Amino acid sequence: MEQPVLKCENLHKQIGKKEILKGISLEIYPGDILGFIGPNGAGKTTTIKLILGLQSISSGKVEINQFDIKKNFEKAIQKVGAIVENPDLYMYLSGYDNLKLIANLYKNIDNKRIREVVKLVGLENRIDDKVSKYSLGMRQRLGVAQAILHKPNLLILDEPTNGLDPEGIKSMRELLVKLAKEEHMAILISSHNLAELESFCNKVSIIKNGIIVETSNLEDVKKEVSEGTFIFEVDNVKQAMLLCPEGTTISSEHKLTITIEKNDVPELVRKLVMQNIKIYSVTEDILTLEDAFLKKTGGNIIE
Amino acid sequence: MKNELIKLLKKKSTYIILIITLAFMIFSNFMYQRNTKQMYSGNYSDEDLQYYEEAMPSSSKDPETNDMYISMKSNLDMMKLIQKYGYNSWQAYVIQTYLGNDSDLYVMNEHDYAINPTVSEKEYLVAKENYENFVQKLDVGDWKHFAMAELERVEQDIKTTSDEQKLAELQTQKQVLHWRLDKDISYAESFLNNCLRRYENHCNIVYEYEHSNNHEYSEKQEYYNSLEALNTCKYYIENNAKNIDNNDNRSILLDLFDNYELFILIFVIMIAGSIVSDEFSKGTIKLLLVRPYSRIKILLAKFMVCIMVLILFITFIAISQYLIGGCIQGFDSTSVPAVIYNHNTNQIETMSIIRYIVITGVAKAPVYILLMTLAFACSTLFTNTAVSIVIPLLGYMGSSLINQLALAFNIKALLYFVTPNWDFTQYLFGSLPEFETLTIPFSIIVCLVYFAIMVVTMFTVFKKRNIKNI
Repeated sequence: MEQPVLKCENLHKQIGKKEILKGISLEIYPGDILGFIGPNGAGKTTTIKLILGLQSISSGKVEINQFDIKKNFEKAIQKVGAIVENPDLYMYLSGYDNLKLIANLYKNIDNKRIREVVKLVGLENRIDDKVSKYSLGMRQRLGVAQAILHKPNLLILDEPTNGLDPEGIKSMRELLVKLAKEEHMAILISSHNLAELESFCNKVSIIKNGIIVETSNLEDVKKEVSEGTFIFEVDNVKQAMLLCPEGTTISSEHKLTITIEKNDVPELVRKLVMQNIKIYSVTEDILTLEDAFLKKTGGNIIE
Repeated sequence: MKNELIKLLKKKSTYIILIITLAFMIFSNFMYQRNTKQMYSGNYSDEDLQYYEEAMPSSSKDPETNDMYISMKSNLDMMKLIQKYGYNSWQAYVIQTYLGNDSDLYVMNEHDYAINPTVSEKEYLVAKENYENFVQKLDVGDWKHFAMAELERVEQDIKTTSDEQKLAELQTQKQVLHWRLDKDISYAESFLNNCLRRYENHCNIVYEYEHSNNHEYSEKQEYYNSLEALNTCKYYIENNAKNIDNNDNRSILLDLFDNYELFILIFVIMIAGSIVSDEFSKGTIKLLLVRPYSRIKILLAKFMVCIMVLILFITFIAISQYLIGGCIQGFDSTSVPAVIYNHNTNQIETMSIIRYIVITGVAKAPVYILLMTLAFACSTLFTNTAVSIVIPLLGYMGSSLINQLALAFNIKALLYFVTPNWDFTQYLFGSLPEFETLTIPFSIIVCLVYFAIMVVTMFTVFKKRNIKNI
């Protein structure tokens, strides 16, 4: 059994009298991309800061590569790359100088590696410009570059797609998938936008008001919520109802929502046609992840 | 973690301050050079002459102002004579000594202008002859003649005086005159002439102190100062020192820490006050804290960089002052070593200028390091750059105020405060500190305690700090 790269156990965080995190548990294995999703103020960034040792942990445990972040900070953080909140860089330095500074903090990062990473994030042309001249998207890329410079096996990104254009999001997505597959990195991405993560995360954790409400494999979730729901557009709704299995609902004047196995659809169509019911269209109702999760989280109330 | 240094070197503000410092340095060197030209002027100038001419009563005939007219006329005549030879010439001094009140000149004027002259014709003739002889000697131009005459008179007086203090003064005068003749130091205004005068003055102060019983601390300090001045002057005279003044390159270098103290402090405080808080306000602290270094190491690295910056900046100032001062005022003054009177051994010592700067720098270091640490601690505690720059600067400005308070009202409790203790130049070469009861070990302990308090607080706070959202 593979050891998890990151393991959080029952994390609590209290600031003043307010309990911000009420027992967060997470596990990430190599090659996983975990989407950490929650509405604003749910505690995503706080969790990330606890994991990175930026804030003190009230109770609970964080282990990165089997090292406790509290007791063995230097070893635990050794193979972690992160962007917290905004990609914070030294504005008055060039992109290359920024990376060089970070490189100096580790052993064995040579200029070749820096060039390699720059190429990976696609900043070759602008790397010698001052960061203050960069667009937000370019800063995000540079942020990723500084995070993966030392070949970490755990990458923590806090809202990395903020401020990126669709193309930027796409290339970021490709980059992350590549890192997870080829370098076997474990990646934790937080976001409030589920649709964005849908396409490349293989696991999702949903956090709401400091509690994890749901953790599952994305494939399972998709299967579960969108299984066998079809919308039939017919002329005579009432007549058609009689032929349909239980659980069918009339969703509008000419539409029926029917839950059946996909294999049974042709049979049902045949039956309806035999009864001279006109069928205009049959569509599979694919519930988006977002809809599914909205149902589960039921909206967030900032306490 | 010498990364921090690289970061600083690439900041714009660092260069701005450096350039301002350089500009100030060039400017002040020009100012000093101008002052140099005006050094060692005599007692009178053209302005005085003009003033006398205007203030003199218009006529000698008015009985009420007749006396005043005569005395002012005598003065004016004397000044005109001085003007003839130049205000800084040796003649100027001689004329002033010989043609004071009741001089031949006065007699002559009394005879010429007084409504009721008290001077007989015979007296007048004698005075006139004396005066003409005197002017003739001035013209021939041998000051040694006058020095010999003065020496003779002093020797005469020594034989006749019984008053001990008077005798001591005369002995000093004799010594000075001997030096004058031996070393060929004329009465003309010059560095060595000035040394002779100061020597004479300080000798008298020292004598008075040594022969009085009531010794207050401030008097003792004055005595120490005089002792130092006296011996330094003596050294210069005996060694035929070249022209040394308080405004040349050498003196600026020796007083480096007084001249540029504000710049050193502003620079160091600016760096120390922003080095931590800037990272917080820009959010880049997170970039550093998620690296495999403990927070203590990170803070320590930043602190070390501050100390390095302090040393580098002082070196920078010393070197650039040497070069700029040298270019503007010439390099020759810097070939003279520093001259110090050591109160412990009661001897004059010479050392190279560099060594002197290093010694005073070490003695001054507690001031800089403590203020820098204060800035650094504020930077760490408040994570606000403005606050952490302003507080130490206020502290520096307030320090002299606190010292004066302690001095004026004799508040013993304030001696446990850091400001009376942190300047160790007051102990250098055995001199007396500003406050009577202070000793070196005491001051070291006080400084260390304050330093420790700041360092411990900032490290504890930084270690425990939660990195808040920005």
